[in-house]
Amino acid sequence: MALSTHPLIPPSNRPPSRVAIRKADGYDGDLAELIHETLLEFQLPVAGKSVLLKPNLVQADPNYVINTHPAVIAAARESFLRLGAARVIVAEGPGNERDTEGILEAIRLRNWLGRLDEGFVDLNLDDVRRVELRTRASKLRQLFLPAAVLGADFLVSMPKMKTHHWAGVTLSLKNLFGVVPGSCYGWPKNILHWAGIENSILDLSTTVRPDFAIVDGIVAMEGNGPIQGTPKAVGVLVMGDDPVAVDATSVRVMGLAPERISYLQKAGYVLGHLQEAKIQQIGEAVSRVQTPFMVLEQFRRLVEH
Amino acid sequence: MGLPAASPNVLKPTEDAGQGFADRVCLPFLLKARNSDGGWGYRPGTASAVEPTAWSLLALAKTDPKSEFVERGREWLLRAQNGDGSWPTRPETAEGNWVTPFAALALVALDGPPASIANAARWLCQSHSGEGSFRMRLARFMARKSVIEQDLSLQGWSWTTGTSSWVEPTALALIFLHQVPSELAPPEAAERRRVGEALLYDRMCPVGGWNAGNPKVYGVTGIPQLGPTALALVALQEHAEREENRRSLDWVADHFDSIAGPTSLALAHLAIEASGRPAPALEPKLERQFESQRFLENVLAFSQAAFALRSGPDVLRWTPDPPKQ
Repeated sequence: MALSTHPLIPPSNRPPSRVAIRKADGYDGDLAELIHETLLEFQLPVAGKSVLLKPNLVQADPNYVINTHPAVIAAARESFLRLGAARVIVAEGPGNERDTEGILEAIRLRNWLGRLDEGFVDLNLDDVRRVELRTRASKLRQLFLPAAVLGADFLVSMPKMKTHHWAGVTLSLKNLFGVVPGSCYGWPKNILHWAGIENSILDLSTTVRPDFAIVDGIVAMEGNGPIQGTPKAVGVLVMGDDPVAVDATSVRVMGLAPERISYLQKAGYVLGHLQEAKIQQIGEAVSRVQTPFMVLEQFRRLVEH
Repeated sequence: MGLPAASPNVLKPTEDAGQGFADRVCLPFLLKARNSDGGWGYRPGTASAVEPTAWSLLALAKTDPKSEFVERGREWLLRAQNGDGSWPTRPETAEGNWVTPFAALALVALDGPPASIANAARWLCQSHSGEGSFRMRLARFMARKSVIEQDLSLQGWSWTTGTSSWVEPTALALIFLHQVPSELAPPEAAERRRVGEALLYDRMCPVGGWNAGNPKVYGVTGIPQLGPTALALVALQEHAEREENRRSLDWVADHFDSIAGPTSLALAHLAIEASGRPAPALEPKLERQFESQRFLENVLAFSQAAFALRSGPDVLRWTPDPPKQ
């Protein structure tokens, strides 16, 4: 059951979160080994469980800048299977494009994963169930959510590291917009915009909190993201079991200040750790991989000084 | 969700390899995919939903409009209609939304009950997107030209009640309102059509074609997409000679060979045909795409492919209104 049972009022003495930054110069290295080694450090309870990988697939882009790269998706699937997961499915509900098969073909996902009619679920078209949201940051109160997400034992958010022209950045929490079914709410899922993008991210994240996050920052996007920005080679995967800490670390890698992104700041009160002092870094230090991102004028306030 | 039991009155497409792709592949898939309640889900084994049922009915109607499959599908569609004339995505989601004009269009094509069609037309004409709300009027007042460049005074149709107007729901509404028999259309239908068309032209991308509905954000030109462009072109077919239509149709034609998904391909083909231009061959491309991924068992892909190959132009073309005296 992917619905979160994470306490909304966390204990004051909660331990620091661990976030791994792993260097990867390109998509043709042994990413499965890199991810597998990292997952072992987190001792994830996935043996015998169903794992749902939720990449960020937005629209047909054969250049692999907009979407989570299929090499990372395939490597994550292999890694979770190696850890003993009973089943690993890839699932996404693109928010900007109805033709999901067109997106999958453009990025040649089948070349990486094999037959997609068995291993991929289009969350826009899946059966749905009404779910009461656990928080009231927005006026949404409830949403219909896909059966595949609600039925998964373990949810992995796999965003592309990108700037976002409405939300500032899009990472593992914003990536959850893709679990909201387009068949109910449209393309784009405009109800989330009307309810307030930042507050909708919070309500979704408290209700369907990812159990793990893997951010594809090997080639990221800066500027006018999430679609029309420019490629940014950062050469990292950022991973961890606290999605707030993973996003905050990714934001620092991007040269931005996480506490100035309001949904992340609020998420830091209920969902995970935002402060650098409360995040134990594994692998590379932020300072060694930090690559300042260009942002739109409207988001200059996010730049770390 | 069980598959249908054999019936003496079902459609009988054969496995004859000499037959076309629609008869050989799409229709048998649709017959097998139907749920025991008479409707279709988005994939076999999922709960019946309005959109795949409406598309499947349109695909099957030309084969045999009196078949048990079509009759029961039509009954399912009628049962799913809300009391106010709208349709929800699925019966369990309850609230009427963007699928309404498409369900109603299927009923028009299947000679459905006039009262149901009239109720749908009334709901559609009375349903307003969020642009008229105080919040949006305030946003319009405060808006900086540099964020989004579009005329927010125009109201089309939204995906869900009370949110913004977008290209696809507006195009679907226009397609239905053009086809609804005049005696079933409410008095405000003509004005809603006029404003809806104006909205589509306002939301067109500068290079031609449409995306979801943002032609320019922060001064950056939006990238058109095939699905919205195809539906908008069908909706605006009466204006085929306008430069915007021709530019958009050129964009579709230029991209036709590189379309990677069957739903975009079928819709693009329908748009070209509805505009009266000769359309490129569709069947070989669909065959190739089917061989690679079996359309991911997506009922929309099979039904739209069959519809485009067999019925589309008949259902999606209409006679222009006579000029006003």
